[in-house]
Amino acid sequence: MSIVWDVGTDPDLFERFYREHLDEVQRFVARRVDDPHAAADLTADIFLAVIESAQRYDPTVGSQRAWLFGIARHVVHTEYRRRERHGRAVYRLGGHRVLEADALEQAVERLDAQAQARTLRDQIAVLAPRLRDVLELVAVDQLSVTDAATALGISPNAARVRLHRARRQLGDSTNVTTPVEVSP
Amino acid sequence: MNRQLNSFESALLCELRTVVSDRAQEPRRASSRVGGVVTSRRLVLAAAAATAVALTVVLPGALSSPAYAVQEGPSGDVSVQIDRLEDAPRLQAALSALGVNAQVQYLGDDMQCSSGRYQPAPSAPNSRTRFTFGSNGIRVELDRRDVGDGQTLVISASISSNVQVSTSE
Repeated sequence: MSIVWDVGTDPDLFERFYREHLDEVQRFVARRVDDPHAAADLTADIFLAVIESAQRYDPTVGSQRAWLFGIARHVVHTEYRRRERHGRAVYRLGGHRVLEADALEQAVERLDAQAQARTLRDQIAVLAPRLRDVLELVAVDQLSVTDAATALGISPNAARVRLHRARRQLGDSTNVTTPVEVSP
Repeated sequence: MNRQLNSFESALLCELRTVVSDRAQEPRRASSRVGGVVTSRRLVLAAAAATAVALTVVLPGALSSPAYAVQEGPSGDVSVQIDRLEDAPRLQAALSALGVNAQVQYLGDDMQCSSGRYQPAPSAPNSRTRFTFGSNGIRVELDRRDVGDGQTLVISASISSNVQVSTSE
């Protein structure tokens, strides 16, 4: 029985989930933002969204990891849309979380480690969103095609088609050389 | 993941456990809410409201009740229940009587300790220390191992979102 269902109402189960997935969530965020304080805010938002969404998790639909990445992606995109609407100047009006020295140092190291992934993500940004989203989850986040499909709420076949089209459109214009797993 | 959490990760876990605890106490709300993402800023506002509730229940007739309670468990762990932000020196003395070196400070509205005033101390492996706050006040379950020699339990609270509990060196 998955623990996900109860992480929104059982603090101990939540802590178990948090400790199990914290590194993965922080790396996901670090592949998308280059500011440690913004990354901290997004990490908090993602786990809050997990708490809010836990009771809607359906293990028959897809893996826990795919579900988590779907939530993380939604949170990050929501933040992007807010920034586009209001501009960077008022981003997070009220201030970021304050990171103490130990947390800041680790966050910067994590961001540095994901710099190449952010470059790759920038390169595929030219694609249409429906193609880009699949390629991003597979090539940047290293999800299987099946998990990427779950995260996006589409069928694995649709994901494979979009992935193929995305790579064909990119051609040789980028350095998308990350091995892509094509699950059956 | 068994690694030690850093200060941000520990503080975030603390906040989120409080959110989950609050949801557990309000099952109807938890099960009826659909969609939406609670942002960290909203979390802070919720925390502020919770703390405010804890303080606004202080009615004249209730002032005779203790502002806090301190209890030592069989394992030596210490439970602190704070119902009102009053009598900080006495709470500090009560903790000291149990052998816990502590600093308790209640600040003015929307004030918080300046950064760098304390050097956070790492938690013991599988620490049992927990911190929650809500409409029933502030509660600290302190694992003795988290306040070793030369370390101090710091409880800092104000009438706002800024409730901090940490151990420092």
